[in-house]
Amino acid sequence: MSLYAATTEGAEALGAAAAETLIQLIGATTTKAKIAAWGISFDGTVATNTPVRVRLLRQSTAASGTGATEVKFDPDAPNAGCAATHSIASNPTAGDVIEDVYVHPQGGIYIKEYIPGREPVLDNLTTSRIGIEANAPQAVNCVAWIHWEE
Amino acid sequence: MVALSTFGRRTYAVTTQVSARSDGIVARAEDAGTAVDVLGWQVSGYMSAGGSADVYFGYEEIGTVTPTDGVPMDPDDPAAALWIAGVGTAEPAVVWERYSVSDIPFLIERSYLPHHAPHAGSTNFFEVGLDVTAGTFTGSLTIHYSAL
Repeated sequence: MSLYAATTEGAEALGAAAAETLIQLIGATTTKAKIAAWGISFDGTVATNTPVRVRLLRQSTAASGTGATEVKFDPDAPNAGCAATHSIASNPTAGDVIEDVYVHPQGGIYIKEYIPGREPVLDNLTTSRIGIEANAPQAVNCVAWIHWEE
Repeated sequence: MVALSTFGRRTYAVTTQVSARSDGIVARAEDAGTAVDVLGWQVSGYMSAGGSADVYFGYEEIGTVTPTDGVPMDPDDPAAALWIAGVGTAEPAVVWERYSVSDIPFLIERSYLPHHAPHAGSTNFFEVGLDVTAGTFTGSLTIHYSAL
């Protein structure tokens, strides 16, 4: 089993009141993947702005965006089977919601690390997708990342 | 190899989101007569200006409910375990944890280590709830739990 990481590879600008997927991870036919951890942070400076709704969810459509680099935790590991996408143009269709949290945009950070045995699983299908989505009432920049095991 | 209490068990996530609610709100986990373990939970969001509330975690009956299947963490598992979101009529008779929140945006998240997971028998129901004492609440509630 090997661990991999993908990030937004830069800040993403969230428009006001529009759900946007920051990273989508797509399953590989060769393996079932487990989400080990994920996180998001914001660079807002306005204390009175409204918290951002952040969700980790399954998605039924593929993201159209920029292919992310799947970074190995161990350089001796094989290349990742799963594929990550960032800079996603239009929000994919939402499926089952796994996490749903509100994070303040004024320097807010949220990190979720799963205890082994309790991770969300990405099925061994290229139609299996998990995304990190954010919906900010006021425009703000953010970065996000996801770690997985396969 | 670390021994974990959740290996071999189905694990589920349940979430509910509300906007500008002034009454109690709860998320509840049960599994049709099977004992369940709560692996973690969270409540996050914000109160209206001047608002306040109590967040609690425990188990008991609640009032009006909407039953829905839980989301399996592994898509190959059956979506058989129920979760329920609804309006709480009162705080649970059994409260394990309680928190006070004001109109500062908040995020309370708990994750229980293996062997520390709260356990309820087949006739009990876990609840994560929020009783609004002033103003309104907008945010989300989540429970992660396992069932045989």
